[in-house]
Amino acid sequence: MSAGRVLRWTVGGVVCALAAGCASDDGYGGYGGDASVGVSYGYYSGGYYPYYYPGYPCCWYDDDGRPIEVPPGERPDRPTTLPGKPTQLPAERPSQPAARPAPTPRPSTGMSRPAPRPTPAPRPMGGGRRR
Amino acid sequence: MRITPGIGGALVALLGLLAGAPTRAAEPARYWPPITDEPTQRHDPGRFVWVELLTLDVGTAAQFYGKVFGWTFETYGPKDDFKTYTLVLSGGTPIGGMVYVRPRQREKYPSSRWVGFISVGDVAASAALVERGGGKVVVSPRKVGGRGTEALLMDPEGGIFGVITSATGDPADFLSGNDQWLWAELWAADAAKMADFYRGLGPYEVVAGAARGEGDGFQLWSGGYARAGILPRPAQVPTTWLPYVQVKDVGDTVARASAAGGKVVMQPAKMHGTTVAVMLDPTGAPFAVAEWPPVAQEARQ
Repeated sequence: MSAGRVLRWTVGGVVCALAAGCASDDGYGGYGGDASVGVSYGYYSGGYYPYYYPGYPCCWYDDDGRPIEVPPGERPDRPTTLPGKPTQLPAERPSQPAARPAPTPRPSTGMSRPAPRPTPAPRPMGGGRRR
Repeated sequence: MRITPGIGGALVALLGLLAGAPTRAAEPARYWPPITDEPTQRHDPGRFVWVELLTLDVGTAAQFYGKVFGWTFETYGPKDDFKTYTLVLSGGTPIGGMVYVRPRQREKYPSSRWVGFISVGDVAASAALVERGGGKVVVSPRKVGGRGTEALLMDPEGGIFGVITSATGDPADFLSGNDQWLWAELWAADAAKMADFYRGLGPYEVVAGAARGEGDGFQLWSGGYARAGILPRPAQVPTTWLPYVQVKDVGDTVARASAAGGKVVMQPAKMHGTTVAVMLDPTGAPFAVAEWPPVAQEARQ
């Protein structure tokens, strides 16, 4: 095999390897693999996310794409499990603060966040709306 | 004309690839905000300590929740929106996050959802417990930046939730204020079976609502407090974990949410001095709102 051919195979191999590496970080989902996570899966990678398994619950929409409303007659007898007494949640105990503490001023030493970028604009197609 | 690259061309191509690799690697890493601004080093197993919206459209969701609850947002990450993390703040306090999910195929329906994260002492052990109980591990335990260790799990009915061991500890255990998370509730087909499933995770003491004269639901208690509930769901809706936001007035909130593109799927209902409603945001994620505390409500009426 000529040196040129060997090099072409080498380049091809590098290209394939890089392509494979990129494919593992295919941009699916906020948990997709990147260096900071050190893994190559995301919520969707591998296709195992339950949205795509028939039979798993997904959405509050009927087959015609309409939101499923719960009629008053079909709602649970007591439509919430919220405790009936405030003392059953935190903060009503004397040992607990009575209210949420004031937010910590930022940036704080060692815990500061990086500079934020603009929050993404809504998607042109209306995002999650039915297409 | 057939072109056969010579050794020189191949070398140039190889060098070009190698030169390009550092450019990609230099892209800012995803930033995973810790769930507390300052380290607390406290851990309250069984508490829902963080909530994330998995959505097809962070921008639309942010506009909606900003209008309805006055939440503000800080987005971190590279230019690619799909690799960003958007922190959700209420009154300047981080209360959750939003991340993009992008389906491999176009979806017929909106399918965003809020996922609550339960504080646990051992994420791997929790994942194993879920599998033994008939659930699934959706995303295996892993460290995420400096936040800590998390896993994304699914109960046997398909309810999605997360578990986390926060590297900075859990937020202080206080009562939420208006426009902040108040409660977490699983709507399940077999509430009793699901209560058994979740019992070991907190671990929780399971309290049947019937024992308190409060219907068929269950409450999951840990650390001396009720942390979450499980409610028998109507047949037509899927098994879902519903996060509750505390609001001053459910009626006003429902009106604002409707005007902002949300859908009311359970009209406001009064019970035990409080009022609750269930809605979908414009990207399809269900959530509930409730007035709290009930005693104050009763006193007001």
